[in-house]
Amino acid sequence: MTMTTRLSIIFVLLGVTIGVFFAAQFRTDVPLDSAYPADQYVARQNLIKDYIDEQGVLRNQIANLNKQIDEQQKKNEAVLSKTKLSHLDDLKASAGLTTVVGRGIQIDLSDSPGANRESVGVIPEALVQAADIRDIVNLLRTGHSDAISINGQRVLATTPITAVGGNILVNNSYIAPPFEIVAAGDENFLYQRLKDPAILPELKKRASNFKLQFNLTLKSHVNIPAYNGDFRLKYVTTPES
Amino acid sequence: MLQLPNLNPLNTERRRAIFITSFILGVFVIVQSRSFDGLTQISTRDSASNTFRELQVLRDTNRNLQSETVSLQDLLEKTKDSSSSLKVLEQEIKKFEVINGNQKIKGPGIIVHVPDHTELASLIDLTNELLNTGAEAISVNGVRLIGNSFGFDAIPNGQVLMNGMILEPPYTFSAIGDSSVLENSLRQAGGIVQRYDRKHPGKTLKIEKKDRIDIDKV
Repeated sequence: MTMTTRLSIIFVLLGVTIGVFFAAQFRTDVPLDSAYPADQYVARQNLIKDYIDEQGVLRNQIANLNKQIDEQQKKNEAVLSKTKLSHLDDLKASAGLTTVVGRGIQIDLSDSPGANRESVGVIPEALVQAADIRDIVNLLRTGHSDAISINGQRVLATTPITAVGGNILVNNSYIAPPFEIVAAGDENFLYQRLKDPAILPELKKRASNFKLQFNLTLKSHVNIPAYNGDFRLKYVTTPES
Repeated sequence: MLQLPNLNPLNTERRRAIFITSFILGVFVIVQSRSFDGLTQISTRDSASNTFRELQVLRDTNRNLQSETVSLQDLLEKTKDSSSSLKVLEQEIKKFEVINGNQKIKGPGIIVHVPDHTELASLIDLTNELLNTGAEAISVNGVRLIGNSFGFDAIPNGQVLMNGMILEPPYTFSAIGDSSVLENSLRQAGGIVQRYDRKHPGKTLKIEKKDRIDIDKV
């Protein structure tokens, strides 16, 4: 076989390999958002900002209305049963409608320095994922926390913590890094649980390998805000109703 | 005798061509491998989502919040009226007893059967997925998830502890809500059923739609 023939074969093989990679490259359909032109991206960001602004206004309105209802009910003490009012106060507190203060723990989580959530090529391991926050909240629950908040959003039993389009939503409200998870409860017990090397191994590994920030602080005073969202009860009824 | 390198201009051109081609090939290998890094997001614990889903979630949330403000304004007006304030108070008590698990509840929904030896992360994710798709109340093996004490804890022998009780597999999640929406959301492409199947070959989440699900009080 002559040198020219060998070279020709090498070039053909190289060409085929490159072709295969090209095909695979163009068949890669994730992430979808990378195909968006800049103007559509800006429009989307503006729309999201409008929704978030509106959400902030509505949540403030809900918090104010709950406060006004409480005040009005206190004014009606003369005609309402004090026992019933007290029972309602307890129920509202259990449902997360009051601020909780006390001792506790703060967990600070943040993406790797330099990791950009908007970037197409960002490595997922370098970002705090919704699942990381869910795992921490689950741990805080097993540690019998009295109340939990994430970036000021009160966490209830019905709070979803989800990833949407590279962002994280708590109670369907946007939260951005750095993430501050605060729990009221036995701070030493919670601290020991979170420090246990067998707990959250994946997160701790990423904190070490990708410089994800994961810090725990014991707090002599934490302030967990009241829930300021809606309660869904469209399908739930009591058997007698 | 010292052998001089072959300086034939034709050979040099060929070597240069091979070098450039190899370099380009290397670039493609890197670019392709990065694309697959992006793909790992699908196999992580959250649904693959897109812009439209993002906007839909925000729009629906704002609608629900708007509806809550209207309902609270109405409640405030009725509370101000002394003739209706007692009735409103009793309705409020009942509402929060339902929310807090002090009342037995019922409603349409779905039951999800989770196979044995399912790890903690999948139980946490399934609970979250149900809440995210509109479940109003959830119970696991008959125990309602309420307050902040229902975390799932792994104990030796692969068992799961919840609120001080050992959960016996297989785990049964009951969720009250719009049964069609709940089922479709779990089964959607990239949804939790698909992700579960991929993570647990040979096992699957079984979903049953129910007209009535009963959940006991706590």
